Parts: sequence; structure tokens; C-alpha cells
Amino acid sequence: MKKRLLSLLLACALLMSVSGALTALADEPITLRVYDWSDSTLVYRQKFHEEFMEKNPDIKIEYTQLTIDQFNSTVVGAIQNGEGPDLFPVPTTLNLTTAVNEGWFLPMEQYLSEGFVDTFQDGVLAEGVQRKNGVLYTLPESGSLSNSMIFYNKDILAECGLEVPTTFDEFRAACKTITETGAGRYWGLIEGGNQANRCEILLRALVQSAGGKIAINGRALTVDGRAPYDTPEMAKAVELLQGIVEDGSLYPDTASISAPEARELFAQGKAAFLCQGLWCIGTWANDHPELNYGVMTPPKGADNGYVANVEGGPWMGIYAKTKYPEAAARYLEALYSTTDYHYQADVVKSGSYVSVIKGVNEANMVDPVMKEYYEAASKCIDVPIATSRDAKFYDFYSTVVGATPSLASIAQGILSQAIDEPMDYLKALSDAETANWKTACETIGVDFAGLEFPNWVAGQPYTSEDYAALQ
Amino acid sequence: MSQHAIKAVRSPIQRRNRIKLNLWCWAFVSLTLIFYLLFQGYPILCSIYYSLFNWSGMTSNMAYVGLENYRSLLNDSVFWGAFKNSFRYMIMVVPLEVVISLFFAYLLNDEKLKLRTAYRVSLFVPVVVTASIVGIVMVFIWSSNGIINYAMKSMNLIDKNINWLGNAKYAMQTVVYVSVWKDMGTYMIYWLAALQSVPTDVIEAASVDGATRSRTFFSVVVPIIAPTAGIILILCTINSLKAFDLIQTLTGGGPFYATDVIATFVYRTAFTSDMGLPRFGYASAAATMFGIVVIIIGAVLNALKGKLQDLQ
Amino acid sequence: MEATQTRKIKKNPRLPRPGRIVINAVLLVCSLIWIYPIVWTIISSFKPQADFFKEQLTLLPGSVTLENYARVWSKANFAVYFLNSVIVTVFSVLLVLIMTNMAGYVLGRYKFVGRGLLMAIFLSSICIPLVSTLIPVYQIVKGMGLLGTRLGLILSGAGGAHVVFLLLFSSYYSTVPNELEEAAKIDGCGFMRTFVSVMVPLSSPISTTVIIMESLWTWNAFQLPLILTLNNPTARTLAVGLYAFKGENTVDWTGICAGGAIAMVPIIVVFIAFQKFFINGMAGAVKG
Repeated sequence: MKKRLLSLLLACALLMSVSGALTALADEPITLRVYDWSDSTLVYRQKFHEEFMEKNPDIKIEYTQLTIDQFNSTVVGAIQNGEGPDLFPVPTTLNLTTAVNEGWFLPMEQYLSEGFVDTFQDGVLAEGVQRKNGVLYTLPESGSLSNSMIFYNKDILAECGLEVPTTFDEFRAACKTITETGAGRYWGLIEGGNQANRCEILLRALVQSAGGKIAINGRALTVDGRAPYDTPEMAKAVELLQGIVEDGSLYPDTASISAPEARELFAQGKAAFLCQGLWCIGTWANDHPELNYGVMTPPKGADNGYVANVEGGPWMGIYAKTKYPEAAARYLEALYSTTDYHYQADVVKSGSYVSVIKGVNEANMVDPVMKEYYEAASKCIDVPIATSRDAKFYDFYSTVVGATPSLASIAQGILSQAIDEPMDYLKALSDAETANWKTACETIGVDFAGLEFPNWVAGQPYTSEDYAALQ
Repeated sequence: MSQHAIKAVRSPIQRRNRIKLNLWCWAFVSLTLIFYLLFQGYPILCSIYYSLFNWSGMTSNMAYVGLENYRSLLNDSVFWGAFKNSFRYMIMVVPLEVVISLFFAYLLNDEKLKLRTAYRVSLFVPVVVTASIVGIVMVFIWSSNGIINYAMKSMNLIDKNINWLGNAKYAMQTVVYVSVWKDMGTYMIYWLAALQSVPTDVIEAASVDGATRSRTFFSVVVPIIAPTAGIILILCTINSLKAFDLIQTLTGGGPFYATDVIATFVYRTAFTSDMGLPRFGYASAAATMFGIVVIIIGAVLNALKGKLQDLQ
Repeated sequence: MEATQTRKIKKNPRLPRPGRIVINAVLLVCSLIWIYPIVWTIISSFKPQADFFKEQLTLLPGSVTLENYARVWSKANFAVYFLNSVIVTVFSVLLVLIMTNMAGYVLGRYKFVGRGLLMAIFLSSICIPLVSTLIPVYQIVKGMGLLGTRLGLILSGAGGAHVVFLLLFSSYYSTVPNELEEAAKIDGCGFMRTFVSVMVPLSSPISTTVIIMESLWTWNAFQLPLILTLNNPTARTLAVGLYAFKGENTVDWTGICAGGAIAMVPIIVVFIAFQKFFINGMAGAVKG
């Protein structure tokens, strides 16, 4: 029994000494920690990191990819506690103003070499998006293009003897024919249905195609003083989705797969249509060079149907408490460099992204589908943005409380047949959001009417003259 | 009861001993107490504190709102949906888990069974597999062209393939099956232990009496293992109310909240948002509110267990 | 004579043959169902990515490849993760064992001042969803300067009251007869000696239970280890490494299966090797 005591004490001593030794982990020269969630460019990023470390032997890159949820639940706490990574993007749930007010980012221009910012295309390092009070804090990941284009599998369409559908009715009919012809080999439409945000993007795109006035994802706009989630155009979009689901034309596992999985399954020929963004092209060029596909704008539900441009967003900045701001700046310069490194050229060549650096797209856009995408996206039009009218609305987005079930959840519910009467939910959502938006406006002291753009005509681009006309 | 009644002692020497004894006792609990306070007690207090604020968890501006978060929770249908689901999940999981594990344990409690070890290992193995892997694998196995559909179709149990995890009608029960599959082994082992405490001669005596196996089970075995059953029930109930990892990786609470339990609600509310910032304070209030309800239930169950043991 | 004969027959094959066959059949079928997902994972890990969907149902792969393992092994630092998992698990389990055994002993045997309050505090925290306590735990580990260290993982992994273990130990100790203790006292043992030389050995069945339950828990934990090792991926455990690997390679299904197999197989082997010990240990949980 004495042995027991002894071994217990020994174990304690061992615990203390060993774990003591463990804490004294060797400090590596310079380890630059980079975190983000750019899953579609992973291959090129890793290639870039190898290249970078080769040319900068004094810096070791530690690159970690998470999902945005994981980033919010883990890294944000670290950032606030002074332990954030050296380089990280602004979470999509936040805007630059809030991040800068929180003191997360370092003004970066002093660390960048002269002329670097001039390599960016005009207007991308804009105030409110990448700059705050003229100070540059973040750089954009890529040019902003609509992320709700429809990819179609040419081989499947040919096999079914179908043309590219252009209207809601044609689209639904095509999906049905395809599913029937496929008889279990392939289906009409596939989505990453377990990611509610993808479902919401699809639904909003269809509302726009039906000529409905609706803001882009995560933004607020009112129509006649109300959140426009129960409009006739919404009903039309919902009807289309419900119809596709009822016909059984939706890939049966849609509700339980993520967007990358949907992208992969589309490439494996499991479905004829997929609504996603440019990044697919690069992934497919890499993994499925044999895939024969094209891209189109979402089918139209009305003559005044349109596709909205997305807002450019902030991406990576240098952590305010980094120990190595120079190294971090060197990393960023290399990432956007067109002379010493190939990352920008690689992503454009592969079709993952449109670059924000001057000249890169022109020189490297070789993929025919990418050109097609670029062309289709150039038909997208601007919709009004509250923050462009009044910068105070940035505070609105950090104050507003989202109502539940959200538009994203309802869209997901439609695709998974979880709700029978989506319009009831959408009406309740419009009521709740309208009330929430009013409250948020009161809290920050802006006029609720600022969310209303009376001179906006659906299907017509909203221009700076239109903003001016409102003043 | 063999507890030393410290208070009953009177004389001065004994009083000194009493103080000494109390000091020893506190010294012995101190390690647990420190670890508890550091990693659970204080964080829970923090969480309760946060629940009084309108706070995103991402920014430093916390606005005190008093009990406002709790008030909005009362009107939040999604919260109550998750609340209900937590208990629905519990009610579905606990009986299945307990009965199935008892069934296997009873069959395996036969030392002369040839492949006993192999059976036991097979049934226990899912317990040691990480939830995130289970999540991925199960999405395939229960997918519309996975093995489950294939098997059920060939047995004519269904006529159309079902996406079990993606269909709101079936998602909850599928999650329940998967978690029973994953955790059953633990409870089976508990039951095996309990059954091993049933003296073999009791069973043999019953068999000699000509009692059938099932009669033997209910009239002889059940009374002996009843106290253990209480502990197993409590463990199973607590674990089912805490379920998070598996549900998060299987469905994330979807589709359309069909499998949303409190833990997934709290996680989603605290760290994600479709518009505006995440609501960490609100999520903390939800966690606290649920915790309080569970404490009440736990107290009731504990009292019941005490009653049961007194009766024995 | 005749009576003993019957007895013998009853004793040896407890069930008549047909019954045995039925039971074996039931167990065989159920075991196969139970183990199917695991076998499926391991077999998928040997399939080429292209065959994953084509041969989703078949267990015997058309072609076998080790490429998945090579890829996964080179992408993720599984050797380091594995070592970390072992170290973290061993030490936090040891820590938990020592503290819950000590606390359980006094809670079970002595009615000291404040005992009721302590029990109430411990019990009341049993079921608060811990997702909302991530941030404060993080702050504490940071305050101790242990972020990204294995010691930080060990301590935080051992954190909490472990109410179930406390209850196990205390209810077990409360059934130990007083005579043992008094005999030890007569032998001149003090409080500590009595505990260590009389009580601890007695509690070995519960200790085994605690070791096993806590090992499983620590081995599979990922939320807390994930945030605590953000600044130092080399301190990651296997569960975290696997989770991160999955996040970075969503559609590399066969690779994920290979990673899963790497994480799973060692612990299954350990389980089979220590099967008896394991099960007796788990059993201790409810015998008390």
C-alpha cells in the first residue's frame, strides 16, 4: 500500500516536471500566423506559401483554414485577448468600421513599400470598405462579382436534348426532364443545402430575377417602409423552388451537404444546375478538367428581372498586436505581387477569382468559362446600398438584431421540405424585421426612411446620380 | 450510513480533533474546488453576467440590458423549439439507449457464449470514435443513396429513397438512432457490470424451478439491478441533455430547426448571424435559462432516486 | 443421482441448443450492423477518390490504394497530434483521478462544515451548456500564460467539478465500513496515511472507471483544445487536428476517412488489448 502512495506521488512529480518541460516549447525564429476561410484557393495558397518561405527563409508561414463559424467562435476571442494571428480577414459578420473601432488592425500603409497600393485597380481600396478616415487597414481578396450565377452541365443538357433555360417555367421544366431522363444518375438542381447562407443567396437571386426589390445578402432595404420579404416577386421565387422540390428535381441529398460538396458532386455529373460563384471554376479546372460546363445568369421570372452586383468587402489586414508587422506586410506584398510571385496570376488563370491588381485579369484570363462568367457578371447591375447613402448605416449593421426564423433558414426550409407554407413565415419575418430595423435605426439615431430608396426602379441600375437625387 | 457525525463530538480534545478533521476535509476537496472554480464556476458566473448584456462577443462595447435578454427569450419561438427539442431528444434517446443496452448486456452476460469478446468489442467500438468523423460517415450512410435506403428498399420497408438527415420529418429520429448507436456501448458495459453482480446461483435456482428465461429476468434479475438502473438513467439523461458535438456535425440543428437543441441554438446564436452581429449575451441567457430548468429537473430526479433507494 | 444429473445439465449449457443459436444469430447480426460504419470508413480510406461514390455501397473496393494515407499524412501532422493526444490524455486523467478521489473520499465519509454547500454548488453546474463558457475559460488559460501549451490543455481538460466522478467516489466510500478506518487509526495512521494506504487501494474499481471515462472524454474533446491551440498548431491534439483537416479538405472524402482511420485504429487496438480491464473499469461506474 505504501507503494501506491509512492507511485501516486511519483506520478504527481512527473506530471509537474514533464508538463513544465512541455511548456518551454522552442521559440521559432519568426512564425507568421495566417488564418482565413478561403477554401477554394487552398491549392494556390499552399503553393504560394512554399514559394514565399523559399524566398524568405527567415519567415515561417503557419496557415490555418477554418470555417467562418469556427473563426467567430474561436479566433475572435483570441484577437480580443491580444493573441490573434498576425494576418486575418474581417469576419463576414462584421464590417471594417467595427473592426477598426475595436482596434484589431494596424494602419498598414507605413509598412508597405511605395507604389504598392498603386498596383491595385482604381476604386477597390475605397473608403468605408478598405479604408477608414483615409487610413488603409485591409486589402480585398478579389474583385467582387456576383456569386449567384448558375452553372450548367453541357453534357447532361445535350443528353436530354435541352436548350439552356431562360425563364422560371423553362427552368423548372428542364429540371424535371433532366431528372426523369437521369433516372437516378443525375438530377436537375443541386445546392449546398446545409449552409443556410447559400440557400438565401439562391432565393434572393431568384427574387431579383422575378423583378423584386430586395437587398443583397446580409443587407437591409425597405420597400414602402417594410422589409420586402413577402412581396409577390418573393412568392414567385418561392413557388419556383417549391415546384422544383415537389417535382423531385432537386438532388436528394441537397439538404445535408455543404457548398463545397455540392460543387464536387456537380462536377461528378450528379446534377445539371448549380448556383454558386466564380471560385468553382478554379476548383474544377484543377480537380475535374474533363467537366464540360457553362455559366448563365439565373433564369428570369419577369421582364424586369435582374442580377445584382455584390458589394466589395474588406478582407485581410495586419493584426494590431502583431510582433512582426514588417514580415506581415512583406507577406501581403508577395501575395499581391505580379512580378516575383504567381499567386494572383494562378488564381485568375485557374478561374478561382478575379484579381484586384491592375493588368492581371487581362493577361491571365484564359479559361473560356471564366470569360463567360465575367461577361455574364458584367450584366449585373448595382442596387442601392444604405451605407453608400449614409456611412452611419455601418453602425446599423452592428446594432441590428436579426429576426428568426431568418430568410436563410426559411430558404433552407423550402429546399428541405420542412415547411409547407413558407409565405406565412415570410410575412412574419417581414413584420419582425421591419420592427427590428426601426429599433436599430432609433438606437443609432438615423432615420428609418434612409433604408427606403423611392427612386429605385427594379431592373434599372442604381447610380450615383440616383443617390444624389435623394439628398 | 457510515458518515462520521463530526458535530456530535463535544470534549475539548475532540473539538480540536474536529477542527483538524475539518481542515483535512477542506484540504482534500481544495484541489477539485480550485479546478472547479477556475474552469467551470467562474466561467458559468461570467456567462450569467454576460446574459445581462447586449453583447456580440466580438466587440468591446457591452450594453447592460438587465433581464431584457430573458424577456425576449420568452417570446422567441426558435428558442422554445430548441428547448422542446432538447427534451424530445432526451425522451427519445434515454429509453432506447437504456433498453437496447440492457438487451445486449443481458445476452452477453453468458460466460459460455463463444464469440462474447468479439460481440462486446463490436458493440463498444463506436464509443471511441470522434464525433466529427461519425458526422461525416453517417451523412453518407443515411444519405438517399446510402446503405440504409438500400437495405430498407430491398426489404420493401420504403418505396422511395429518403434523405434521412436532410428531411425535417425524419431528421430528429435519425439523429437519435445515430447517437444511440454511438453511445450504446457505454451503457451496455454499465449493465454488464450490474448483471455480474447478480449471483449465478440465483438464476440457476430460478431455472431449476422451471422459470423461463424471460420470467427469470423480470422476477429475479430486475429487482437486483434496479438501483443500478437509477444511476444509468441519470447518467444517460444528463448526457442526452448535453448533446452537442454529434448533432452539430450531423445536422447543425437543421433542417429548419428540426434537430435544433439548446446547445446548437446557443452555439449558433453566440457565433453566427445572418444580419448584424452574433448575440453572445442572448446566447448566454439561453444557456443559463436552460441550465436552471435542468437543475430543477435534476433535483427532482435525485429526490426520486433517494426515495427509490429508501424503499429498497 | 438423478437430481444431480439434471443440475449438471442445467448448469453447463444454461440454454438448450436452439436458444443458443438464436442468441448467437441475433448478436452476430447486431454486431455487424454496429460495426458496419467503422468498417465502411476504413475500407473507404483505401478507395481511390473517384470510386468513392461509384462504390459507395460496396465494402470490397474495386481497386485499393494507399495514396489517401500518404496524402493525409503529409498534409497533417498526425504523428505530432497523436503524441500530444497521448500526453494530454494521460496527464489530465491522472490529475482528475487524484482530485476526484480525494474530494470524493471526504465528501462521502465526513460531514464537515460546508459539505452540503459544496455538493449543491457542484451539482448545480452539472448541465449548463458549456459553449457559452468558452471565452472565460480561454481568458483564464491566457491569464496563466499557458495558451498553446500542452500544460494549458492538461489543466483545462482536467478543469470542472467532474460531478459524476465525485458522486461515484463519494457513494463508494460511504459504503466502506468504519472498522477499516478505526483499525488503521489504532495502527497509528493519520488522516493522510489512512486515505492513501487503506482507502485508495479499496477504490481501485472506481479509479479504473474514472480513468477510462475521462480518457475517452479527453481523447475526443475538441472545442476547447481547438481554441487553446490556435496560436500553436504544434500543440494540437488528434481530435483538433482531424477537425481542422476536415475543415480544409471538405470534399476529400477518402482522405477524411483515412484521417479518421488513423485516429480511430490505435484507440480501437488499445481497447481490444485492454478489453477486460476496460470493461471492468467501466463497470465500476455503476457498481458503487
